[in-house]
Amino acid sequence: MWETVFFWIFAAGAVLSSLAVVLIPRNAIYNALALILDFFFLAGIYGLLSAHFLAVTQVLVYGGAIMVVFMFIIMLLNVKDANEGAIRIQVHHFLAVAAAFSFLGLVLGSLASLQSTPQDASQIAAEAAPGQPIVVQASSSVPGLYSSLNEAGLNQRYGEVIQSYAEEEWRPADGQHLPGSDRIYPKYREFDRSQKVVVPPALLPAPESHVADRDPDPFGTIEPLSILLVNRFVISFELTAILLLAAVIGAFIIAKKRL
Amino acid sequence: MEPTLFHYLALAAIIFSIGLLGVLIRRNAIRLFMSIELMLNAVNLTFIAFSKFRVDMDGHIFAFFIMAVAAAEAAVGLALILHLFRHFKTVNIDDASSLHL
Repeated sequence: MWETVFFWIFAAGAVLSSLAVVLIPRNAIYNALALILDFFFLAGIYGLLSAHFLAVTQVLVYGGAIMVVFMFIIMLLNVKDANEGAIRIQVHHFLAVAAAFSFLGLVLGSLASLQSTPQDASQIAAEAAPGQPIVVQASSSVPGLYSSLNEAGLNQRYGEVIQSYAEEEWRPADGQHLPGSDRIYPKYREFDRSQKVVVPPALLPAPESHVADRDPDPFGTIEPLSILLVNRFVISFELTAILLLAAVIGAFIIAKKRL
Repeated sequence: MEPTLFHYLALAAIIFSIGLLGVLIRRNAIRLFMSIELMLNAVNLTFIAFSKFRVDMDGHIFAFFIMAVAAAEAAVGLALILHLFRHFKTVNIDDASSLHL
């Protein structure tokens, strides 16, 4: 209930302040202030989407750092918009409005058509005729990525192999050919009980007290985000550091009096 | 009516279109940059909405990187505008059409 109310408040505020950013003539300071307002409304929407960390980052980085630089440049240059004071309507303004509206119509139209298509396996199963086999695409054209890897898709893909296991036609330990492929599966290695098995600490279960302290729904908080950031995305994270360094040096060099 | 993924994506599309309109009709370089920030924010909103409705945090990571890139872009871009103003005494991008330094 409250989520809905706040969504409409934030959405209306975001759209109106975005229009103010684009359409207020004369002094660019007003546009910058409208842009700050817009960033705050968008931070509210991020909060509704349970992206708590990003909502705070939005206010700090956009509303703080970036807008301070904008304000600084606007006040430093003190540009009087002689030609933009009164907007002279020209042909390219009509073309621009037409382009923006047709882009919006294209996106909203494709969204509406996507909304009416079945989204997951249960919906597909509900819409299929009874007694008909359901064909679900189990693999995507991108290697390593599986789209809608559901029960029907898995069954279509691996049903034959599982059937051959169940009927004891062959076992993977026999080192035979997999039916329908030329891959040979090796025999399993004997398990040596005399050797001690060392479990790496990362694979050990977390202590009970730790689990109890944890937020029941950590989605969007800083903990899962930081775990992703320093594991799967660690290379991009480090490259961002290089990018920011390059940006700082570049800004210094470009802004110098003589290039 | 509970907001769905469709609502968030439609909102992002509207904000992106407004930013696009700003890029097309404004000739002041500073305002152009503001419109570009608007478009980047709309894309961020799309990523976060998808992230929420797929229950997958990867979108948050992308939004985070977009914020970092936007900060770098703002710093370099505003330095470029400063240099443009020193050279041409204007920030109107139509007047700064000469490649000659």
